[in-house]
Amino acid sequence: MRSIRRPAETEWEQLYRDERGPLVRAALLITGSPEMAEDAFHTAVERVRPRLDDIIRPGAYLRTVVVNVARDLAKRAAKERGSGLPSELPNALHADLDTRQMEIWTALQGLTERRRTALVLRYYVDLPVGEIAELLDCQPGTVSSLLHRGLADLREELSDD
Amino acid sequence: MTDDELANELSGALHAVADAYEPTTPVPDETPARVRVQPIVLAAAAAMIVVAGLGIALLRSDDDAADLDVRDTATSSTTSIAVDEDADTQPLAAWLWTVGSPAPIEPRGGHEVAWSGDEFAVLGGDLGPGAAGEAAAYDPDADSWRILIQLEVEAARSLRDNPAVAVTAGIEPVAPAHALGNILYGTVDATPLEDGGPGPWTLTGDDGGQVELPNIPDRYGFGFRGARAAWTGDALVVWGGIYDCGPGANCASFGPNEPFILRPPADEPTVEPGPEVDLPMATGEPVDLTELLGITWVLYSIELDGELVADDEPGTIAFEINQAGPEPWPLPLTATGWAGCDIDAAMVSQADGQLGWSAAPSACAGEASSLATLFVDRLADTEQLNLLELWPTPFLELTAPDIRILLVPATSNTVVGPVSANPPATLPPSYPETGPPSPGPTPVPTGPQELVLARMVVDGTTVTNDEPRVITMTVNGSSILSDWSTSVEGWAGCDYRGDVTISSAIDLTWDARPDLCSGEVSAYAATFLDRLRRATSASVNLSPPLGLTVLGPGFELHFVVGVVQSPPTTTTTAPPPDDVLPEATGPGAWPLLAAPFGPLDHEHTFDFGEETITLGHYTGVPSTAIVGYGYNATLDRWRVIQPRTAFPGNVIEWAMRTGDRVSTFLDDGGLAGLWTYRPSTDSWDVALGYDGSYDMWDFRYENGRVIPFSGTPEFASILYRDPNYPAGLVGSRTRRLEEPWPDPGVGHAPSLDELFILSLYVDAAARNHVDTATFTVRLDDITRSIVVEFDSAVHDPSDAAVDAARTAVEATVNSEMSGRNFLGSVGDHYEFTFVP
Repeated sequence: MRSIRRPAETEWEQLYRDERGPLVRAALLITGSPEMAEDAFHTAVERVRPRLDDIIRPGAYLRTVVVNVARDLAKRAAKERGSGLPSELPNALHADLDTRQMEIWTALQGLTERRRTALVLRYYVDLPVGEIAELLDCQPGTVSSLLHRGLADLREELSDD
Repeated sequence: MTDDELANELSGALHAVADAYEPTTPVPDETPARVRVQPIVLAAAAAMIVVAGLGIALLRSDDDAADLDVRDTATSSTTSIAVDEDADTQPLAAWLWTVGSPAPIEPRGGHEVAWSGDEFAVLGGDLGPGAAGEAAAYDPDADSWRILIQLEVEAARSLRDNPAVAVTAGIEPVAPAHALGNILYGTVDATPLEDGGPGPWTLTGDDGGQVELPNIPDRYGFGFRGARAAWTGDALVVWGGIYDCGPGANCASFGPNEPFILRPPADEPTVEPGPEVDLPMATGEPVDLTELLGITWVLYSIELDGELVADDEPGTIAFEINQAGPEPWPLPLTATGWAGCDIDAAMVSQADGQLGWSAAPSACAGEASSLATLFVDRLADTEQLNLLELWPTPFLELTAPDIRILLVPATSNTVVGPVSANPPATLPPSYPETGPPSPGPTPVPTGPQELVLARMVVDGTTVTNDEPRVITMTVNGSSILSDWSTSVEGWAGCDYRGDVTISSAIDLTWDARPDLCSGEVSAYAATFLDRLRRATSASVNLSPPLGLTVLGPGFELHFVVGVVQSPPTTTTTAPPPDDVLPEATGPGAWPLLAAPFGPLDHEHTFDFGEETITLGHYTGVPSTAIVGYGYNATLDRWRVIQPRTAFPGNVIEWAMRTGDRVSTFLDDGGLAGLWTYRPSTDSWDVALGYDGSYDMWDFRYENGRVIPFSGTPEFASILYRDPNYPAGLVGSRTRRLEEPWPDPGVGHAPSLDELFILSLYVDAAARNHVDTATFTVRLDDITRSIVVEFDSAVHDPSDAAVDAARTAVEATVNSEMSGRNFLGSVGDHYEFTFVP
């Protein structure tokens, strides 16, 4: 019989407290919007919390749901905008970025959602290729391709500026 | 800036953005207001009270059902079932099936379903020898699934008798206000007809009532048993069951994995047709693209994974092209609208030649819809559509890996066709039409066809089509789809005398008399003729919408079927006798005084002492060709090298001198391959063709080996060993590069991994249209040659043919070698030779 891990409520609180900052920020980088990032985290919590008793790796599961929800929100927002127009970073965050970082952020918004997400997961969340592949539901080779071509796109975007 | 440097900068920027933001989400002790804890325990207890003693039937909330629009199901009409007393009566036959996203759990039978008010839950069931433990829920509005719970096997088995388990899984069954034919839950069966065609779909309620449902498109229509259904209040959701492929066929299996949803027809999308315009005819004059402003385009055909999808649904896309006025190609392009109910187009121009295209496959039925999920999947991985051709007879072709979409103008004065290779005769007679009228299928043309030279490119220059030109093509008197590699004869304007012979898929001879005419085509004819004489082969493609395409080194000819504005005026001119024409004696006999081509795409030049070799590619309609030329400084002579056909959509990613030859790696288009050119013999060797996930971008050449050190593991496992050429390739076990490569070990029986590599070679052989491929397998002291024969006349061998060849090779390897007592460590001393 397979045993099911049943974390106590304090474990959930610990998980929530530990993951809230990194996951909201990761969602921010995927969506480009603080509002969507918060929404993605809330939605993920609502989905994960009721099934926590049945989840073997709640942290990884929560991260997966956050990323998926954030991607859905980003794609929906892009479609509603009718184009791939760059997301604008809130003014409050501008002050903490230097010119080069702002250029990179702007260039990143010009990438396709899939490539942008792969770059965020690799270079911010620091996930290995295999875990990114699981998150994006593709082969590791495809992730390598997304990363390689994402950097190439980024380089091209930066050169256009 | 290297990738690593850029990645470091990116990482810094990402952390800077992230660190600048402080989440506002409350921490737990602030009691997050939006976090809703579902009352599982309370729900379970309440539901257990409700359902106690009633078994699974109470999952269907029959108490509620008693208040519904209960009908005598024995007399229920199959065409006038009311589902909502307050709504207009909808004829059931007009309802539409859609196919949802695949479930994240294995298809199965014997499962139970429940409707929670928002989600269609699938619980338990049988998976062949065992019971399934998962439960999953499908949201038909969002077309998304989620896993509910992992149940123990015994618990899953008890689902039917213990609905409390379902409640524990987080599902609170509810009953919708009204039921389809008085059926809230039931089983859907489809019995195949005697001829194997799709049979009627019948919903049998758990209480015994029956309703005959509209048939789902034939892709899924052969037969089902035991698919479970639930009525949601405004739709019937069906999932699971046994998939039956027809009477007498022993192929029953679980599946498919997608839910089917039956709904009343939705309001038709509004299509704003473009203004009436006089479309340009195939007059030979250059097309002024501004004339195409605002044309409404009709979805003509979709090719998906090489299969032509019948265009059985009306579809329209309104394009606005070149809004800012005349622009050189490629054009800025925007488009809005929809193409049938399959493709809810939100097409925008992201950059020149790049289109974004979102698709909503859930909107309607029909064969195209049934493939739409696959289509969306291909699109999702594409991220770019190439706008390839805008024909004088306007066809708009959009291609992407595994996808090819053709559009024609909605106005029909110059529309050719459409010609459907797969007319929708197999659709149910009651198949509803929505949206604007479809142009409708026309018969596949048979017998002689007139082809119009629509576009000609010589050395990269598009030649104005300024002279009348007709080719009468006889195609076996039957479908040009099935027998196209036969013969072409007649006149092609005054430039090119007839005697066009297509002796196989890639061989072409064509005599020309440029001295007989004038005009721009004639001005280029001498160069064209020169190119032709140097082309010992050309790729030829024939497809109904596009007609004939001939690609060779330095020239492209594109013909379309049938529309000629005026009769040809030169066909009465008697062709000159053959002996008037000089005789071509093959490559090299007609020296060039300058480089034969302009700059090539992804051009690479290599120094081979007396001769420099320049290679590049150009991507044509049927395939990519690797082309190039050599320049001998001593003789001051140029030559056209033997062109090599690569996979469709390929581009040269990498090329490198490797010993006495040049190795090239091409990918894109979903296929990749290694090709090697040997200047001394002007010949190519196919190293490897690979279908699937691929990428490779860094190589090094050391000690006679080409070693890929970045890329997918599959390719990383391929070493190119020069000293042993032509044994050349060493296929070994698939492994990641970071793992140490083992020393060659003692002999061993072929492993599955090695057979996998071998199978790639079989694929490569099949896809390169050779007649005979020889695979030499060496295993220590044993060498076996396995000869596989293909039919090179078949342009795209079927998967079955490739599988059969692969099986034959593997069987030989196994029978010859696996019985030997090969023991010891697994090494990489395992070679394949591919001799095309």
